[in-house]
Formats: sequence, structure tokens, C-alpha cells
Amino acid sequence: MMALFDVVLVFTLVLLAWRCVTVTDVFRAIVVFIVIGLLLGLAWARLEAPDLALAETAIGAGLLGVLLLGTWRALDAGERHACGHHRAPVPARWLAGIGSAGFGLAMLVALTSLDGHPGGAGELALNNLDAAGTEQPVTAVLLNFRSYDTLLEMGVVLMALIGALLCRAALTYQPRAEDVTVDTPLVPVLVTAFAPAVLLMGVYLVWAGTHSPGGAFQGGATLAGAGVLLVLGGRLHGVPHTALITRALLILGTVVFTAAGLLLIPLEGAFMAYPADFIYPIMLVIEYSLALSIALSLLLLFTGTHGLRRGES
Amino acid sequence: MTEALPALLVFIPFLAGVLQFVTDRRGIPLLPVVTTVITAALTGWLIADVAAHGPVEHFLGGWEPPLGIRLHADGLAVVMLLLTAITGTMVSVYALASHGRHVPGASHFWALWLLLWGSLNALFLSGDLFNIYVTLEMVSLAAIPLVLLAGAGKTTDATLRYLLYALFGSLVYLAGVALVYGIAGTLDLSLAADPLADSGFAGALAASCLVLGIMIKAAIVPFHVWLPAAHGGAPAAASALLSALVVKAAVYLLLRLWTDPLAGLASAPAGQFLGAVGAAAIVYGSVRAFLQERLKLVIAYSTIAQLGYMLLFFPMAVTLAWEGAVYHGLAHGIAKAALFLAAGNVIAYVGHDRLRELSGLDRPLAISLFAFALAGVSIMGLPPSGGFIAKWLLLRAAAETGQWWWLVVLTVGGLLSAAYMFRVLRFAFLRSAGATVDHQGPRPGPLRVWPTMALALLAIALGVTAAPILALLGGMP
Repeated sequence: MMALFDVVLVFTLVLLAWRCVTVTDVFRAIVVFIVIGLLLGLAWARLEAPDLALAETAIGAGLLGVLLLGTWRALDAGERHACGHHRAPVPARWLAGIGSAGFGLAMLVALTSLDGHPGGAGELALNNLDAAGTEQPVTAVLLNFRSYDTLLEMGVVLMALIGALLCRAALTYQPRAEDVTVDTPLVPVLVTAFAPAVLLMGVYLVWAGTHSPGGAFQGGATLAGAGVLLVLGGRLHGVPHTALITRALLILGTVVFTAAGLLLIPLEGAFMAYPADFIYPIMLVIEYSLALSIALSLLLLFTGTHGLRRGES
Repeated sequence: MTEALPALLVFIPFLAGVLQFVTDRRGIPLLPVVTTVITAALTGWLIADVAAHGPVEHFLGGWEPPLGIRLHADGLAVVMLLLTAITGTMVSVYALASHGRHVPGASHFWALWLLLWGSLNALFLSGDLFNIYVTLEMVSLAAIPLVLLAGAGKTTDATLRYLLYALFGSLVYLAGVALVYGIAGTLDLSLAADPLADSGFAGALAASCLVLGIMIKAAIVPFHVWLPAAHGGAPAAASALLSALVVKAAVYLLLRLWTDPLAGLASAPAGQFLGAVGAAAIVYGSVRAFLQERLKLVIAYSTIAQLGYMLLFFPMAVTLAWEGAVYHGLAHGIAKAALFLAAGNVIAYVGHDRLRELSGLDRPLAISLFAFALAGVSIMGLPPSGGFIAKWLLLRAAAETGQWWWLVVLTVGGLLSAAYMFRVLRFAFLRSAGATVDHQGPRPGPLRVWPTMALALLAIALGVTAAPILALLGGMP
């Protein structure tokens, strides 16, 4: 039964991917892209990688979809039409198609020849979970064994935000009045009902990361989702200027993470080594500060502004 | 304390960049100045330590590989750190004038540049394939927004093209990393070498992905199409960083991977192929540089050509070629930064960089143009300069390995670079009929002129400091 489900899933994914690159209407391409994200989440779940499934659904399908739809809304009718009908020259399309097919085939051959490698770093990580201060292997890798990667990724998030804001500054697009005013009574009610629940889920996901699938990135993305709801419902507005508190929250995760690493060098002898008795509280503090910074960064990517302000309604 | 130096070299500029983002304009110029001084001093300390006691290692979090990530400061890494510190310090001084507190976008410039400095240090010190992916992403994402600082909307197209190429390169590299982990069960550069050596098709595919991804990031022909508009359009201080350091970091990675994890897979035909790509880059980049009508585009195309020389290491793969390629990276980085800063001074004074309208510049901008000519000497590979030493080492390597065809490439490349350099100088000097040029801006101040001159003098000085630097680098691993 599950085998049949898997086969259907794989074929649907391939079919949707084909649709996504061939469809001429940009809006449809975006919708198909979001569906692909959701199905990829399912595929990861079937591969018993719940952390990836959560991340793919929250970030790949959810937030990325929101960002794409926001961009689509910023285009006027002519641009929408033009970018759907702008086609790469035929040789380039053939090159891309043949290249992708060849690469996929080569990967298939290479991956099937691998033996899953017993005794590799993954097995070592599972055997060292006690020393890592968490029973969740993904969190142990992200926040302890390879916490350096995670910390540097926070820099990536910050730089991507700076880049997006600089890029955005060059655009002349201003949200039209009908885009930001809410003309149905349903939206405020739904926001009032959903936003607290989504917030709670985000906070839970971050905490859950210490012992089961979840963590700062998935939780942060969910928190950002709650923020997007509030923006859409008119409870929050993007503003062009930035407040010190906003910038401080954006870097909170990076600073807490780096400070924990640097301050403990004299005690532990290595950067980012934590004393065994305090690993759990240290990790929890780091997770929550990371999640806050990630959530705010993603939300500002959505509004495309330097700051946020509470709405009147 | 020295064991902590690699981590500090990453996190002091990294944290300073983050703080610069928070403090906005108020942090300028104190935060950048303090960070530059501390980072340069710590780099000097680490270099002195490596020169005296050999490589320094740091296991992050106290976890040894394959479980954790290893920072590794060996000869190659510290030579690249040296290049970053020298160029970075001089560009920082220059940017105090060009991106002072009241210049629009100054806060973003400094935040991105300090983050870029930390990212570059992280890349050079990393001993882990996946961590290198993260640092490559950081370097790209710090570098790309720098191009946008040219002004609202001017470079958006160039930046987006750069972004798309960089992301595509990252994805291809990441596919290679995933395959390496599948083959070797480890991401550590040295530990992965043995399992990769006899891994058949999967290993070959992994190596191809890693090399291809890096080549896209390094703007090696035919993946160079994003570079000229991005490097030519960015503000001068940013162009200097992008051309001297960012693309160089990708080529460094090629040298690192080839001689460590991929050493068992590196075959002679693959080496000859990379050498041929390098030769194509040298000829193509030089010819295009000669045909440009704008000063900064000449310099940008020259970068495409000069990166090709570093690829000549792969077909020869002897110690002389190793020294030549790395020394070329160092000499080119410093000379190229000087060229871009000099071009920045021209643009600040004249308001444009159209070559045919630059005659008469030699009088008001004497020092900047002199610096341009001196740096040009190194780019052409004339003695006594860093570029000459590098090309001399490569020539000797070609003779030693009996691969005479690289002698031809090196000679032709040198002549072509002389052609495009002298063409620029001819427009500025020889056709000079007096101070005919219209200028829009004030004459560049000492903070803009002297870092340019200092870099140019250093590019020449590298012609006599080869012995200690090559001793620091050590032989081919």
C-alpha cells in the first residue's frame, strides 16, 4: 500500500516539476511550486526525515510561497504577462534539459553504488548523543557537534536580508491601497483566531527541538508565518525606517550564540565547547534567540522593509 | 592562546559586522577601524606562530573529526590570510574616505565588508567540506549585496545575474559534498582522501561536481559572464575586494581540494583539461580587456585572465608550479586591488571612466596614475614585481615538467596583458595635451590616494620578498 503511495508521490512530483518549468502563466507556476514544496515535505516524511519534512513545508512551501506571491503582486499586469512569455533561446533550453537529465542519471548511478557507510560520522554522532546534551540527533548535530555551521548560517540569513533590502530599495513598487486594506470582515476574525495558535505552535516547535523533530529554523519559520498573518490582517505594517530594537532582535541569535562560544573558551579550551552540566539550558537559550532572529528576518523579507509597526485596527 | 587564534580570526570580524548592522551610522568610523586593527594584528600573530611552530589546528566544540569541524591554519591558509589582511586593511583605509559616516549606504558597506572578512577567514581556515560550502555561501552573500551599493537600481541586473550564478555554483558543489559523504562517511578534508581514492564512478562524479561548482563561483571561462558587469559596476572599494579576494577564494579552494581530498582522484588528463581552461581564460580575458572602452571593465576582464594563471598549476602539479600559482594569487590580489582603487579615484574626480575622455589626467591625479602603472607592472609580470616572480616560477615549472606548451601560454598571456595595460596608460599619459579633462568631483584626498599607492608598492615589493613567503607556504602537500 505504502509502495503504491510512494510511486504516486514520485510521479506527481516529476509531473508538477515539469508543469512548473513549462507553464507560461507566472501565477500558476508559483502555485505549482508551492504544491511541490508540500509534496516534497511528504516525501521527506516517507524517508523518515521528519526534521527535513518540517523545514521543507514551513520554509520551502510556506514562506517561499508567500515571498513569491508577494513578488507577483508587486508586478503590474504587463510585467506579469511579459515574464511568463519570456523564453530562453532553444539551444539554451536543450542544453539545460540534456544537462539536467544527464546529471540526474549520473547521480542515480552514483547513489545506487553507495553502501550507506557503517561507522561514518552519522553513526558516531548517534553514539555520542549522551555527551551532546540532547536526545535528538539532528539538534545535537546542529547545536553541538557542528554548531559552527549553524552559527555561520545565521550570518547568511542576516546578509541575505541586507541584500534583499538593498535590492528592494531600488524598486519603485509601493503597495497599492487595495492591497493593504482589508475589505472583508472575515480576515480580521481569522487572524484573531489563527495567529495565537500559530504563535504557540512556533514556540512549541522550538522547544520540541531539544528532544524530538523541530528546532530553531522550523519554529522560527512558523513564528514568521504568524507574523505574515498579522501583516495580512493589518495588525502589523512594514515601515521604511528601522528601530534599534528591531535590529537588536535581528542579531540576537548570532550574538548569543557567538558569546556563548567565545566566553567559554577559557573554561573549555575550545570555541563552542559547553560545560557538560549546563548544556541543556545553554542550548535552550540559544535555540530561542536563534528562532526569534530567524522569524524576524523572514518576516522582514516578506514585508521588504527595514522595520515594523503595529497597525491601528 | 594560539589555538584559539583561528576561531578569533573568524569571529572578531564576523561579530563586528553584526554589531555594525545594529549601531548603523553611529558605529562609523570607530568600529571598522578597531576591527581592522585587531584582525590585522591577529592575522600577523597567527602567521608568525605558523612560521615558527608549524600548522595550528582547532577542534570546534572540542569534537574531533569526523564528528566535529576542524579549523586548520597551514602554509596555504596563512598565505591567503596574509593577502586578505593586507588588501583588507588598505581597502578599509580607502573606504574611510569613500564610505564615511554620511555617505548613503555606508553602514551596509561596513557591515557587509566586515562579515565578508570573517567569512573569507572562515573559508581559508576550514578543514571540512560542508563547512566550506557554508563559508562559500557566506562569501557570496556578503559579496553580492556589495555590488548593489553602487546606487539605486544601477547594478540590479548585474547583481541578480551574479546571484543566480553563485547559487547555481553552490548547489552543484553541495551535490558533490553529499556524494563525498555517501562515499567516505566523513566531511573532513584529510579523512575523506583515502576513501575517495578508490571510489570509482561515484568518486569521479563527486570530484566533478566539486570542481564545477567552484569554477562557476570563480568565474572561470566559460562561467565568467557574470563577472565584468558586477566587478565593473560595484563601488571601487567593493570592486577591489571582489576581484582581489572573493573570486580568489574560490580558486584557492580548487588548489586545496585538488591537493588534499581529491589527491587520489586527480588524473593527468583532468589536470591538462583544467590547464587548457586556464589558458583559454588567459587569452579570452586579455583580448576582451584590450577591447573595452571603460577603465573598470578593462580591470574586470583582466581578473578573468589573471585567474587563468592559477589553473596552470593543475597540469604541472610540481612544487614550483604550486609556489607559482599561490604566489600569483597573492601578487594579483594586491595589484588588482590597487588598480580598482586607482580607478575609483579617477571616477571620483572625473565622474566617469570612459577611456577616450581621460587624457590629461596625469597632472591632477599623478600619484593615483603612478600607482596604477606600478600595479600594471606586476600584472604584466615585469621584473621586479610579485607578478614576475609568480610567472617565473610557473615558467620554470613548465620547463621542469617538459610541458613546453605552457611556456607559450605564459608568454602570450604576458604580452597580451602588457597590451591592455599600456593601452590604458596611453589614453591617460601619451595623448595628454595638458589638463583637458572635465572634472566633476574634488581631487581625491590622502585617505584615497595613499592606500592605492601602498598596495601598488607592495605589489612591486613582492618581487623581493618571495623567499620568506614561499618558506611560509611550504611545499606542495
